[in-house]
Amino acid sequence: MKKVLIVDDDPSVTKLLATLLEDEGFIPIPITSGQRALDAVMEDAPDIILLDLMMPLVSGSTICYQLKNDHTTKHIPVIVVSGDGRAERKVREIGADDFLLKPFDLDDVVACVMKWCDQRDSISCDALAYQGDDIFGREQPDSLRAP
Amino acid sequence: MPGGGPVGHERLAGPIDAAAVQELLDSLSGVTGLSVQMRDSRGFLVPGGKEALALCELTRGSRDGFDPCRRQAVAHCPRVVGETREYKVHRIFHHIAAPIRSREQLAGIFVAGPFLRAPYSEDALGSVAVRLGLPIDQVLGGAREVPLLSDVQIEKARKFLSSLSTFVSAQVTLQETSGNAQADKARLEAVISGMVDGVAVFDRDGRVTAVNRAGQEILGRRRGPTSPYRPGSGLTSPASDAYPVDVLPLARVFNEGVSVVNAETSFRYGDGEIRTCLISAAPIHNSEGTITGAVAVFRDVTILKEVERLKDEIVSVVSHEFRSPLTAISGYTQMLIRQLSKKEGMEKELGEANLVLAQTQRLTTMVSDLLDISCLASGQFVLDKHSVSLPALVNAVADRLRGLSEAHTITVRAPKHLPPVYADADRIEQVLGKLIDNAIKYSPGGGQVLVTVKPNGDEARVSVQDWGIGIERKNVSKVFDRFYRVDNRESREYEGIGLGLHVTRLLVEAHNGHIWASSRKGRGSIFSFSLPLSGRNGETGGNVEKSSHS
Repeated sequence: MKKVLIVDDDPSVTKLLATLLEDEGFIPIPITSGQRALDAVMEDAPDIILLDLMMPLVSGSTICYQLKNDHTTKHIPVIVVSGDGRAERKVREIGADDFLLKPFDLDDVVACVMKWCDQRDSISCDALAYQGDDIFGREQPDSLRAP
Repeated sequence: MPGGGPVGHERLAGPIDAAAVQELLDSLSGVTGLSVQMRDSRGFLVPGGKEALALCELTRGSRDGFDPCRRQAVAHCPRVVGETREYKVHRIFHHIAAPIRSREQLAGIFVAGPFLRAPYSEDALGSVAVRLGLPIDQVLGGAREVPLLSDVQIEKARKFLSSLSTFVSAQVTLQETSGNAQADKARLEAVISGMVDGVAVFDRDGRVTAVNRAGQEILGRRRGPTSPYRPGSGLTSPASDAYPVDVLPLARVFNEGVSVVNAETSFRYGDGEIRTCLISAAPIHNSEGTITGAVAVFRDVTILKEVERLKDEIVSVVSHEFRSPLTAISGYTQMLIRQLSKKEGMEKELGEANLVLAQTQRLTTMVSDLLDISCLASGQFVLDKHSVSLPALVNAVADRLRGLSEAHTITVRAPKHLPPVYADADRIEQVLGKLIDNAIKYSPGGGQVLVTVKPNGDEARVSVQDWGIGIERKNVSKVFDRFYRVDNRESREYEGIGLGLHVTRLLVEAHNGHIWASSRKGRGSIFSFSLPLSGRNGETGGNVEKSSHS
């Protein structure tokens, strides 16, 4: 089962998302403080993160930027969930992977989370395969060799 | 005293030495026996010096009041522009008038006379006295004083007056021109010093050589004006570093010889206050084309900036604070609907929950519209433009909206191939969505909604037509106004606060397009918009470009 970290300063939103994702077979980890977000990532090693942007003290942008600049966490897909439609443009700047506009359609949330779980699975496989090449020092195919 | 006389006097009194002129006139009188006077442009005598009044004494009521001589002198002078002229008064007497002119205007008159060209008949003069209502004896007595002049004498007097008037005209013109230049300068100085914007003139080394009050305020309030363009001026950037001199507008003017318009620059003052100015600066060249200095205008926009920032903040806060509760309401209602739809016999409750959800979505749209309008109106709206195929976009929107109403059929007529438009697809989708939604809303009986895409010259035209309730002709032009709703009982049944169509207009205009409507009451409406088709390089004249990726 996939773990989904839900970061939003509004408890009614974290509770809603947690209930929804639990129904859909995920393990939700709701937290309502931006300050705790990075610790939670380290402790719980979530598979995917739903992140609000506008939060007191530590903003979602800061959290995302830090996650994406740390090689141990940068592979975790971050879906920004914001009420500010203009924030959609910021998604790429801060290194996030996707965007959901509040208020959201529950089906869209589920679809988005599933999409990124699937992608993560395939990315992980690619990463493993690539590692294998390195480890075993497999020869390059002839076609790629310089003449 | 009749009004205006003294003004005419003053015009002559300033520039010339009236006593010296009168002395000249008196000497002419001495030689010819003529009475010679200087009068202002209205014909009043200019006081000063000895006055030989002769016939005028006989025929006028008071010195400065109405008199026939004055009237005649003035009457003749406009006709003697540039020349000295002789004319007749009271049938037998002659005068010579010479105009004093300044800048194509009559400034005064020299009048010499009266004189006789031939012996007169006392009968004729008697009839003049009768006509003027004066005692015949008095007039005849006065007339005996009038000299009889030869042609040579008259010509000499004419030349003398002509020369004198030319000389005096030059004096008056000179005085008035330089007076005007001084008045212009004073006016200009008053305008500049009274300006709200700071104006400063700098020499080639960046030193302030002239500055108005507002400029002094901006450039330095304690130690008098200092130049912000010199190292050590004490003015620093908001980050409290000294400004790198090269980036300052005036440095650019000096180094590159260019004019700078509205360059935004912030200054930090010694007391920590930060002010933001828009600076426009231009070089001053000498006749050889070398830059000898610069002039700069400083507009303090600190308060405007602050207002802008506050507005941004409010928009942002509203956006967040309104959407949080909306998210919860909408989310839990959706949860409720999910649960209710799994149970039997809950159709009524399910219907009610769906109603709550629909109203929540309506409220969400209103909040979005308000935010969009706020951003679009303040020009902060950023369009994410790409090449967009309108037929594909229109079909996608129509497909998405088909589920909205079972009573309506959405038909799309679009050419297979159409050059792309350079647009923000999300925003055009928003416009289309609102127009189709509107068409459905205002055709409550159901029916067809026809969406047409076609090229029209160098633009693409999209129309959304319905056969619904329509709009009265007089109201058609107002439908795109902010908060406009067709105000009748019928339309109150239809939801909305009149923002949607206003948003469509702002969005289309942000794409350099146009939007319009045609409608007939009871017959339906056609809402259309046009967007410029992309040129070969995919660009159009659009000036609102995405900035975050550049």
